[in-house]
Amino acid sequence: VSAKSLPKDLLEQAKFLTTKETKKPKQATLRRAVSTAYYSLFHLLCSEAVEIMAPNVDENTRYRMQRWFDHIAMKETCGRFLPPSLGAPLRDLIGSVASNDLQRVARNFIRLQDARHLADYDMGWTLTRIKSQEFVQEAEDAREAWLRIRKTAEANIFALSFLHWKHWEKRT
Amino acid sequence: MTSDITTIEAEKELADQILATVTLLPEISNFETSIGTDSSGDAALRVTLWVTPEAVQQRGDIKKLTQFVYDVHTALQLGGVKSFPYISLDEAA
Repeated sequence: VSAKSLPKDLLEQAKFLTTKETKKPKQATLRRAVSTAYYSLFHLLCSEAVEIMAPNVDENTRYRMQRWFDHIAMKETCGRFLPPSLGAPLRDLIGSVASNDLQRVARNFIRLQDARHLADYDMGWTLTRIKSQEFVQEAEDAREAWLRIRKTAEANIFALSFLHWKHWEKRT
Repeated sequence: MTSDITTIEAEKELADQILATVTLLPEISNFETSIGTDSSGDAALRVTLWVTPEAVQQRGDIKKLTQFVYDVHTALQLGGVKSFPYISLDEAA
């Protein structure tokens, strides 16, 4: 069974969860929506990064590689691509600022990871429907932004940075 | 840790000043800044944009409201806030 459609399916599921209970949504439902929205973006970026690194491997190898990615390292990478200013390795690689689309991907990933953490672990956190819908919208916006830039050099550098950030410090 | 708290308190003050100059959408009644922690346990600036009961009732345009969240994020960064601001919508009482 292919899991290629998983990121999109998770996003659709997250959307469904925010509207499933029309009157008074359960906290459990809204929390699952937020968590699912985060994972839709997480799995999208992992699978896209593997596609960039190893486009010719078979499906099983692809899924093994997708397990290499670490949530915290990915969040740190996202932070490096955001203003106010990019660090030296990135300035050399992509210029003084990332595109608006890449910034959106990076920003929303950080926000969604934080929200996912609250949704799954902070029992004192109260979610309203509108708050959960906002996070799901952010996952969708990030996905659309990524699909616009996925073939660009900066997207390649971003994806490689999830695993290989320290190598950018090396110069030729 | 003390310097982190001092820094984040200064960031909160700056965020309050910047947000006071931002024109809110009709769907947003007010904003609130607070200091919390992020998922790593580090001090973090949090901003809540309170959505009016009317907009909530009418299931306001979530795309438009989310775009406003991005606009506020950008305004804070351009205004000099250096830490990552965690901004979210919530329902006003």
